[in-house]
Amino acid sequence: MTEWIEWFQLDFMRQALLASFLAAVACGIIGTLVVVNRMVFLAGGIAHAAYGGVGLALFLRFPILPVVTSFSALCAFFLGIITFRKPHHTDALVSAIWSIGMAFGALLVSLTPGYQSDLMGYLFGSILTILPSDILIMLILDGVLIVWISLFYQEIVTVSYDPEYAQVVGIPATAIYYFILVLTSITVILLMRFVGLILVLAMLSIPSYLAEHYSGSLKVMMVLSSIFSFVFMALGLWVAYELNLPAGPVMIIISGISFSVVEAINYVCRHKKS
Amino acid sequence: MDNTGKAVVEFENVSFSYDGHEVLKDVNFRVPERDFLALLGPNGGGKTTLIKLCVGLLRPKKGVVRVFGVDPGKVRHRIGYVPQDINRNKEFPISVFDVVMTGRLAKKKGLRRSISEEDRRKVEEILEQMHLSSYRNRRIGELSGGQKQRVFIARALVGDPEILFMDEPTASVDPAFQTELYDLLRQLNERLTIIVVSHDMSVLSSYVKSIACVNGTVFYHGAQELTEEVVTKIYHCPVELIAHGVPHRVLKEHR
Repeated sequence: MTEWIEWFQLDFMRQALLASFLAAVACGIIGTLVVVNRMVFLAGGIAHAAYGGVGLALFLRFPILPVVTSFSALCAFFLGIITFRKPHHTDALVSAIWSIGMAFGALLVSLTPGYQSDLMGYLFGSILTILPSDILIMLILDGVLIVWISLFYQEIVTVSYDPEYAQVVGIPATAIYYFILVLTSITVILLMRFVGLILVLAMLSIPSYLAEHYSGSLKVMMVLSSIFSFVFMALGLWVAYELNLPAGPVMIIISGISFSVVEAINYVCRHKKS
Repeated sequence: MDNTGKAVVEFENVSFSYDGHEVLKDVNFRVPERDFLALLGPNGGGKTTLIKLCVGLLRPKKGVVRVFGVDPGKVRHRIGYVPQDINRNKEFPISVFDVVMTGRLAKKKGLRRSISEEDRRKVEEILEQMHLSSYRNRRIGELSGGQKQRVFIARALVGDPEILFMDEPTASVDPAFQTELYDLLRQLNERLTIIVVSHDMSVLSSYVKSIACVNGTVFYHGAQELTEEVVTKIYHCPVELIAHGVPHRVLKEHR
């Protein structure tokens, strides 16, 4: 217990915990939409293509966050258009953008002297070096997401559940779909700073996948996945600190263990019933 | 062609193709007000495409589709639609009540659609009518095929439509509810026009007022043509035979 208190008294830990909470809110909302709309692979494409934005920012010596955010929002929009036009080739097209974005980033990084050491930070995240300005950005993102969801909840539910019927009742399904994609890309960038590019997909999908099973509505699923995300992140932080391991991978391993345990319990329950 | 009364659905030289493959060609027909029309025809003949053109999900490549005299997109609030695929997104966390509620959204104007007390009352009412009240808080994925079908019919009816388009509404409904559904449709037909795609002519034939054979193009057989004698003949014969006419021709040859 005293260890916990001692741990919590560390300034950077409090900061990281606050950041985890804010990230978990965005993760719960967007993760839910990504999972129910089956866009996890698309989100993966965006996350990796975003590395192109990292390379671009480093190469041009521009501030990273704005460049990466606009770069990936652009990728998201572009992905949205092509997956709408050619739904049967979504996987091939997403893979293309995925790898082209990464290659572009890798090339630009290699052309930029002195920045190579940062690569690991982008691949695996660095929650312990989060800045107050990052906290502010996340606060704004959470605010935008919450306002957006509460204003258009009915439309978002209808489009996510049955996009065709949404069109029949006159909801601009395509516009809402693009909105979901662009907000997903922004959230992906945010989560990348914690768990890194490689692991961001797990943070978007695992908590929401677990929550889906226990939720009667999209609202409940969003709240539940936010809670799961926060628990995984906070536990991950603590374990990483205690064992002196990188926080991002530990968070994902904890999510993974919880995922396996819940799936195993569900499996046993199903087989007992039948 | 039946020209009595106002036409609520009109197709004028409509053609439609998917990726260069022509599904409908030069379709011309009019559906009079308060018709009860069955769309028959082989799979791939264009029945679903026809319905999707009517509800504004698809746009004709050539020609004009009018519902209530205007583009279907302008009269969404007067249209009810039951799609064919009811098994999409089985894991989606949404209750029966919320699925039916989405049927009220066409009534809303403006950017944001908020739910009123009246909407809730309407949903409760229709759930009662479709014997779904006890399932109102269930997740949609937990329901049986027939129950789900009823939910989607409820969703189509909850917006008080003046015309109802149904794509195989009885595909997975149990026989008892099928009869009940058609009785309900007959009752609804007193005030609204119904257009239904169905393979199940044995029950349907005693309810419909007209038939359209859809196979690349459309042949409309109106009320005068569907005499009692014809209907009795249709009653026991498989759809494919009625639609093609040979060897068991009951309808007049397509001109």
